[in-house]
Amino acid sequence: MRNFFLLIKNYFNIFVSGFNKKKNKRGSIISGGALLLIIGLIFILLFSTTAYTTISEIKKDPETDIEVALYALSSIGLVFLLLIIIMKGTNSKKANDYELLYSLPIKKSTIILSRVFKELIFDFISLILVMMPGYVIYAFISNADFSYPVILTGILVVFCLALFSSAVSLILKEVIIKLTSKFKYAEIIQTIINVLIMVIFVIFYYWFMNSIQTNGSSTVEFMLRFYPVELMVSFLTLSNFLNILIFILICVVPFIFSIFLSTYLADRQIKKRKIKKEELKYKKTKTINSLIKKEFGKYFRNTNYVINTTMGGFLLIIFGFIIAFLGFDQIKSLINNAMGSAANVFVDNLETIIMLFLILLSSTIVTTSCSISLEGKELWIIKSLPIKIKDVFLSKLILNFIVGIIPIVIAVFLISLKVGFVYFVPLLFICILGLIYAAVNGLNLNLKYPKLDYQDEVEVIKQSMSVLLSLVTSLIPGIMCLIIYFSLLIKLPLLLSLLIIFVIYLIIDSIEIIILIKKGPKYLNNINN
Amino acid sequence: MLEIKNYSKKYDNGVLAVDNLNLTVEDGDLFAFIGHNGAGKSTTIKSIVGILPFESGDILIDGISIKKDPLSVKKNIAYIPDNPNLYESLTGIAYLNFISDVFNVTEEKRKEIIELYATKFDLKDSLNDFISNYSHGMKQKLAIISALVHEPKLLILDEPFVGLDPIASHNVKEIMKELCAKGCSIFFSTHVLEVAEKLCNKIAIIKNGKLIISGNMEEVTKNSSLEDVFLELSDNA
Repeated sequence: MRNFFLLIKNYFNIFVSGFNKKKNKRGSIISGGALLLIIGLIFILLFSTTAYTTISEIKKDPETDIEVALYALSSIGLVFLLLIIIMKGTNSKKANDYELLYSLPIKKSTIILSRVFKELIFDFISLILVMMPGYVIYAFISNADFSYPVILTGILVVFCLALFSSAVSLILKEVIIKLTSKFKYAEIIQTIINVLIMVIFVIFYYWFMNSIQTNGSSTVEFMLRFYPVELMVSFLTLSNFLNILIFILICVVPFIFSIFLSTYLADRQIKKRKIKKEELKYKKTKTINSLIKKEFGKYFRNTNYVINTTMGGFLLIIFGFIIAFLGFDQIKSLINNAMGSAANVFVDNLETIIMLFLILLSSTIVTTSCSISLEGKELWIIKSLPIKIKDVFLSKLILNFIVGIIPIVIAVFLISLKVGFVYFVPLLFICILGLIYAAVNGLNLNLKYPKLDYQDEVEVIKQSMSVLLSLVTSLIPGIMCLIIYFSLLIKLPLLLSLLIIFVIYLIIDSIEIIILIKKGPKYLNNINN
Repeated sequence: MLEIKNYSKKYDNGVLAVDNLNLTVEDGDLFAFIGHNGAGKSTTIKSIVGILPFESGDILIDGISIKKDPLSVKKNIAYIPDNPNLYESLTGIAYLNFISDVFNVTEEKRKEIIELYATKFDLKDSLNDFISNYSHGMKQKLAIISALVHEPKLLILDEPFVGLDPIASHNVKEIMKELCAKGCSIFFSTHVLEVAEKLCNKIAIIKNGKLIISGNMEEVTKNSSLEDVFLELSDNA
C-alpha cells in the first residue's frame, strides 16, 4: 500500500511540476494549486449559475415536474463526460515509464492500479466540478420530496461515471492505435482519426444543445427519452432498482476490463517490437523541400499540435457554412432578436462585418508560434548544418500557409455565394495576408520566447508564452480594421474599403517580415539548449 | 584544418565557461579533447560547429571563420553531439536523406555511403523504422552515419562512444582511423582515456575552461600513461 501511495504522490509531483519548472517544488505546488483552484472555482461558478437558472425556470412552470431539472443537469454532465473520453481517448501518447517502474521493487499490480487510480482521480475531480454544483443546488432549492439525498447519490453517480470514462477513454485510445498500427505512417493516420473524432464531437455537441434549445415544449420529452440520462436520474433518486443495476454494470464492467487491458498493454510495451524489412529509398530533393517534409512529419505526428492549430480553420469553414446556408435575413432577424434597436448598425453593415470577421478569423490559424520550441533538443541539427536560416523560417511559414489556405479558400468561396463573387478575389487576398501575418508574427514571438525545456509537447503547444501571446496579437490587425472601418471607411464604397484594408495588412505584414529578417537569425543563434 | 584563436565563452549568468583557448588541428590529425565534467569541452565543440555564439577570439576551419561565414564552414564539417536527439518524426532513411539533401549528396553517393556504414553498424534493417523507436545506441549509430554521408573534411564528435555496443565502438574507431588516413581531421571529446591514448596522435587537456596542455600524444604522455598525466595535471593545475 505504501508503494501505491508513493506512486500516486510521484504522479502528483510530475503533474504540478509541469506548471512551473523554474520554481522549486513548493513554488510549483503553490502556483499549480492556485491555477487549479481558479479553474475549479470558474467551473463551480459556471455550472452553479447554469443549474440555478435551469431549476428556477422549471420551478416557474407548474406543469413540469421538478425532477426534470435532474434530467437537464445530468445531460450537461453526460456531454462533459463524452468530452473527457474524447480528449483522453484521442491522445495517442503512451506511458513510457513501465520499464523503469518494473525494474523497481514494486509489485506489478501496484503499478497498474496506481496508474488506473490516477486516471480515475482525474476524471472524478473533473466530473465532480461540473456535475456536483448542479446537484447541490437542486438539493437546496428544488423543494422536491427527494432532494437532499441527491448530494450523496450524486457523488456515487459521478464516481461511476469516472469509472466509465477512465475505462472507455483507454479502450478508445487502444482501439485507434490498434486500427492504425499496421500502417507505415500510423501516427499520422492516428492524428487524422483523432481530429475527425473531435470534429464529430463538436457537431454532436451543437446538435445536442440545439435539440435541447429548439425543441421547446418537447425538451422534456427529448431528455426523458435519452436512456443514459434516465439511468442516471434513476440512481440519483433511487427510484428504479433495475435501472440502478444496469447503470452500475455499464460503468463497472468496462472499468474491470480496462484494468486487464492496462496489464496487457504494460507487458506488451516492454516486449521488443518487430521491424519490417523494406527496400530503402534514396531520393534527392532540394533542401527547402526536405525541410518542409520534416515540418509536415513533425506536425502530423502530433495530435495536439494539429487539433490546436486547425481549430481556427474549422471555425472558418463552420462560419462560411453558417453564412451560406443560414442567409443574411435569418442572421439579421437573429441579431435583431438578441440586441433590439442597438443592432441597427450591425444589421445595416452585415455584409461588411461578416467579411471583416472572416479576415479576423483567418489570422487565428497559427502553427509557427510553437514551431521553434518544438525543435526542442533537436535544434542542434539545423544550427550545425549548412542550412540558410531563411530556409528554416520559410519551411515553417509554408507549413502554416498550407494548413491555413484550404479553409480560407472554402470559407471565402462560401461567403462569396452570399456577398457576391466580385468580392472573392479581394477577400481572398486580404485573408491570405491575414494568414501570413499570423504565421510571421507567431514565428517572431516564438523566436523571442522559445520554450525548449519541457517534458510533454502539450506544455509548448498549449501553454507557452509565445502561443498565448500569438493568440492575442493575431487578432490585433483584424480588430484594428474593424475600428478603422466603422470610424473612417463606413461611407466609402465597400470595394474601396477592402482595398484600404488590403494596404493596411500589406504594411503590417511587411513590418513583421522585416522584423523576422532583421532579428530572426539573431534570436535563433542565441537560443541555447 | 581547425584553428581556435583566443577563444573565450561567457554564459548569460556571467560565468566564464572557456577562457582564452588556443588550439590547432592539422589535416589528418586525430585529436582528443580531454577534461572533467563541466570543463568546457562541449561548449568549445558547440562553438566550433556554430551552435553556440561566442564573444571573443575566433575559430577558423580551412581558413574560414565560423563567425564570418558559418555556412561555408558547415559545408566542410560534421558534428555528432553527446546525446543525439534526432528528428523522431522521421524514419532513419528519411533522416539520412534529409542530411544528404542539405549537403547536396547525389543519390548514387548517398546510397553507397549509407549502405556501407548501415551494414557496418547493423542498422540497415531498421532504417525504415521511425527514429522514435530507436534505442540510444541506434540513434548514435544513425548520427554517425549522417555525419559521414557527405565525406566531411573535419569531423567533430562529442563523447562518440557513449551508448555504443562494443562492436559498434570498435567500428567507430576503425572508421576514425580510416578517415584520418585519407586526410580527414577528427576532433573529439572523450572521458575514455585509454581510447584517446591508443587512437589519437594529438591531445589537449582542459580544466575549468583553461587549456592545461596540448600537443603530440608522445610529448604529452612521455613515459607515463595518459591517465597518470591527466590525474597529475588535474590535481596540480
